[in-house]
Amino acid sequence: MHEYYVAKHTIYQIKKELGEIDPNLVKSVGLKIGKMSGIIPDALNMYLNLIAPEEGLTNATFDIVLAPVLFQCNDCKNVFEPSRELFWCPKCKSSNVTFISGNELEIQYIDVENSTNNNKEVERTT
Amino acid sequence: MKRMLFFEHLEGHGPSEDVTRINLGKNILQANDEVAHEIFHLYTDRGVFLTNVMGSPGSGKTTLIKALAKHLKIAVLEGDIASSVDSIEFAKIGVPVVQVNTDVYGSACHLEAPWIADKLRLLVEYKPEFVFIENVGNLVCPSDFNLGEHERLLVYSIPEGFDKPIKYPPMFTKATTVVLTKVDLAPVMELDIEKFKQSVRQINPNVQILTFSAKDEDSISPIVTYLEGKRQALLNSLSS
Ligand SMILES: Nc1nc2c(ncn2[C@@H]2O[C@H](COP(=O)(O)OP(=O)(O)OP(=O)(O)O)[C@@H](O)[C@H]2O)c(=O)[nH]1
Ligand SMILES: [Mg+2]
Ligand SMILES: [Zn+2]
Repeated sequence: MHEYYVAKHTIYQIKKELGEIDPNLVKSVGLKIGKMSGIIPDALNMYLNLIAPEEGLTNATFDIVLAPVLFQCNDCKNVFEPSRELFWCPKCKSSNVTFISGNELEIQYIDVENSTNNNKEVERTT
Repeated sequence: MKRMLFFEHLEGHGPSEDVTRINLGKNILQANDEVAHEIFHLYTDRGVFLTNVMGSPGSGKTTLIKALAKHLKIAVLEGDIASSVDSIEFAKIGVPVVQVNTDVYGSACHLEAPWIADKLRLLVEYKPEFVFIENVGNLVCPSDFNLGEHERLLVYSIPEGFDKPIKYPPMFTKATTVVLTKVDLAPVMELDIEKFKQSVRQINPNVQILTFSAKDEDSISPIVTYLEGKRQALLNSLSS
């Protein structure tokens, strides 16, 4: 239900990063959403596509990558992705485990169309 | 036409020639978390222990906080979509309380730090030892928003059933404490409390699990002792 709010935060954060860059030049935005966040990716994507044009991002698509839920076993140090019902270590069966990651709500990258007035300071990836 | 793209991983999907990629790796909720961070420091410096109380509608959040108010020096921030029903309860028993209604924020199902920061700053001036935020009743949405709390306390009631820890893992993994309430109803619901605790520990091995019943006045004592211990640890960390 809070996907609408997370979408608004996403657009706000993107525009803050863009600074002087025209939001219409944004072609795609990469998002990383942890499977343990409370977010339903389809719902987030729907709201992003509703809000983005209103905020001037008329050409943007959103690429959502789902980040796995990872636990580490405190006994054998094995890092594992728990199955739906079993959160204990598949290697040594220990239930002494620590949550490592899976709560991510991140903007990974913003792809901006090159134009003459494009900001030269943005870093170029290889 | 907008397309929806889900990549399991990004290899081979780098940016094309005519675009410039701005690499970020930034938290979407940064604006929320910056304010939450500021609140966390304000409360920590003042030695006020801040608890974010979350749980389904009707799980017993208000009842639990009212029971704690008899033993602890508290103030309360009430978050509801609409109305002041719960905050009136606290005002009646002389507990400093402020109400935040999310209907002005599109009837949000959760609280965000910037919406409540001013009110949390105000509550500190009443010199409480504990401040409780009663979040909007919801078992999913509040879990993603940090409010600057020291403790994330999930109120979960017996009638909600057995299977929720696995059905709603985000809330159960993010909680630092689960208070299982309405345990007086366990016989009626035929719910085995030990089994329930196990199913919570399965997905959150480090969580503290306590039980409470409004029908048993003494059942609040272990929760009072636990929270006093947590605040004392906070005070000790300040003086060291
Ligand atoms: N039997 C029993 N009933 C309880 C207990 N705790 C709360 N209740 C009842 O459960 C109902 C809801 O309790 P509240 O404390 O208002 O729940 P809440 O989580 O604050 O509800 P919202 O703020 O509306 O989301 C009330 O009728 C309470 O009297 C308990 O330990 N045992
Ligand atoms: Mg209430
Ligand atoms: Zn192991």
